[in-house]
Amino acid sequence: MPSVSSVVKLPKSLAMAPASTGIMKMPKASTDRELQDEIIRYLTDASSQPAAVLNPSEAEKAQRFSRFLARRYYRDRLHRAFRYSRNVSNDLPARVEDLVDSAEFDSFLSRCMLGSLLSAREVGEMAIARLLEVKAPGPWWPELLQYEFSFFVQLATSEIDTQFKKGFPATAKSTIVREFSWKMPALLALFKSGQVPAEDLRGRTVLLFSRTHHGKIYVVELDATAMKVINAANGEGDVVEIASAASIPEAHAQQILASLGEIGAVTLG
Amino acid sequence: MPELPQDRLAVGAFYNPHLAEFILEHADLIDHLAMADPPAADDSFFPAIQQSFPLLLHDYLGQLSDPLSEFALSRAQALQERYRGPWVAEHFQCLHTQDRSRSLDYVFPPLYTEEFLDRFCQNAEILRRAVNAPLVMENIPGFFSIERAQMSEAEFLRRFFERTGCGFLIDVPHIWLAAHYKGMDAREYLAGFPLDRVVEIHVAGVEYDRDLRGPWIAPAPPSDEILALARCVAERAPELRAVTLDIFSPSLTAAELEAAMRKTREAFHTRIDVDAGADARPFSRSFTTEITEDHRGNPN
Repeated sequence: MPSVSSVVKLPKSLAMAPASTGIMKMPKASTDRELQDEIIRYLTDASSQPAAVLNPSEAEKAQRFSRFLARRYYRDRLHRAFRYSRNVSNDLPARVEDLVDSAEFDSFLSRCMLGSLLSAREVGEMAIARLLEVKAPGPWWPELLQYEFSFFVQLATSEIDTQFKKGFPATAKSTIVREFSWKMPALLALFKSGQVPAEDLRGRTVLLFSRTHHGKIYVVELDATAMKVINAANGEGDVVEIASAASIPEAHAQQILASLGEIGAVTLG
Repeated sequence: MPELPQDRLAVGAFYNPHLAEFILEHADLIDHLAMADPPAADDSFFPAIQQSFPLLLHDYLGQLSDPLSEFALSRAQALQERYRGPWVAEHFQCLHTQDRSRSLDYVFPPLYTEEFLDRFCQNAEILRRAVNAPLVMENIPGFFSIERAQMSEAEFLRRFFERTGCGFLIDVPHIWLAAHYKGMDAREYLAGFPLDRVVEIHVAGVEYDRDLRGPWIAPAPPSDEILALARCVAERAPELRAVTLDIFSPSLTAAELEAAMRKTREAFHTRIDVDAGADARPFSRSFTTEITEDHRGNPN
């Protein structure tokens, strides 16, 4: 189960990766282990064809199991990601995770790819749409929901980056960099204890949301230099070019990239 | 570090951090705690929990259908060094693809074939050595059938335990569900399992699921039927040391935990003493069988 860090300051940054997950073509299984992979793919990808070893009635049961898995997975992630909004709003008509029992979610199940970035975004957007319908408990409400959406995308994405060029650092697919007009770390500290901010905590904050290969999630505050580095880490340039784009020495760029790599924000190749 | 009672069966629960205060106040009700997740950094109750209860490592350490990565082995070792439980648990499951591009994020059994048996035996031994503690393995139910299987679940487990010497953590609701979806009586299904290897029993409830159109694993208290089945297992398990209420959920309330614990304790109220001969025989002796086959699979 992924663990969650608190907001920490780290000199680094990012750009939003394209949401793309193609339909995986079933490879022909030759070993039992490969066959198990085929079955796992069938259970996680609503658009895939049943494995040959499933007769029609068992394939139908497997499909139902697949829907069960998806509902369980997104219910859990929604509950964990949208925790601040749950604490601070008294007007929520229902728990946001209950959306997995809705007709809208039933429709989503027909195109769901469990753990994909695309599916995580779609479910996160459903949650945001629901929460924006309630009476906002404060002017920071839309931004809090964007924070939780970004966090949710990390929690609900298990896709790994496999296509990168060695020596050409690239921002990881699920990494999100978002600019907020509120001091989110201070706001969140209050929300955690169920308090509503008494003072005006407006102020520009840039946060990066990322996840490591092992499922640990990071939210870090970026400074201007780290922002330049991550914007330049597009998979097309090497460290020298990134350092040049960020107007910093190569060793400094290398150091920032290493830190970004540690938190899963950048694939170093 | 607290230890499991030596003179009687331990009856415990999973550590639900949101109920830490309740757990600390009810040490008379809970003999041990299974740890599904490491404690959160801000869990201020955990130091007291660790001082008060024996802890059983029951985290996701990795799937033994594939070799565990160095990271996974180090993590398992660190967790066991922290908890210092009498054994470490893993599951008969294979839930992510070899390239890790897809994961079910949920328990899912392997194909019961010779190839998987070799893989599990090989990797269980590696994990056991890494954690330097006895390893127990938990059964996982299937919801649908796959034609490739070469043996029954019971045979797969029996042969695994014979080859590795590992202990059996039998999850009774899982047995009940596996039997249910095979259209068999649970006691009849249970008959083929190596109950002489059972070290720990899990009990919990099952609930109706609309997608599955039938019962499935749920964070619910055990029914009378499940507890009766668990008693049936206990009577045939001379190595049994612990019964654990397998409910791990943020929705669990203190009242629900208390009621379920009392019901479970009541079901096992007749003292099931550890076999007198076993007292002088360290549990770890069951884990000395060496694996001689080398069927290393793909990297994890």
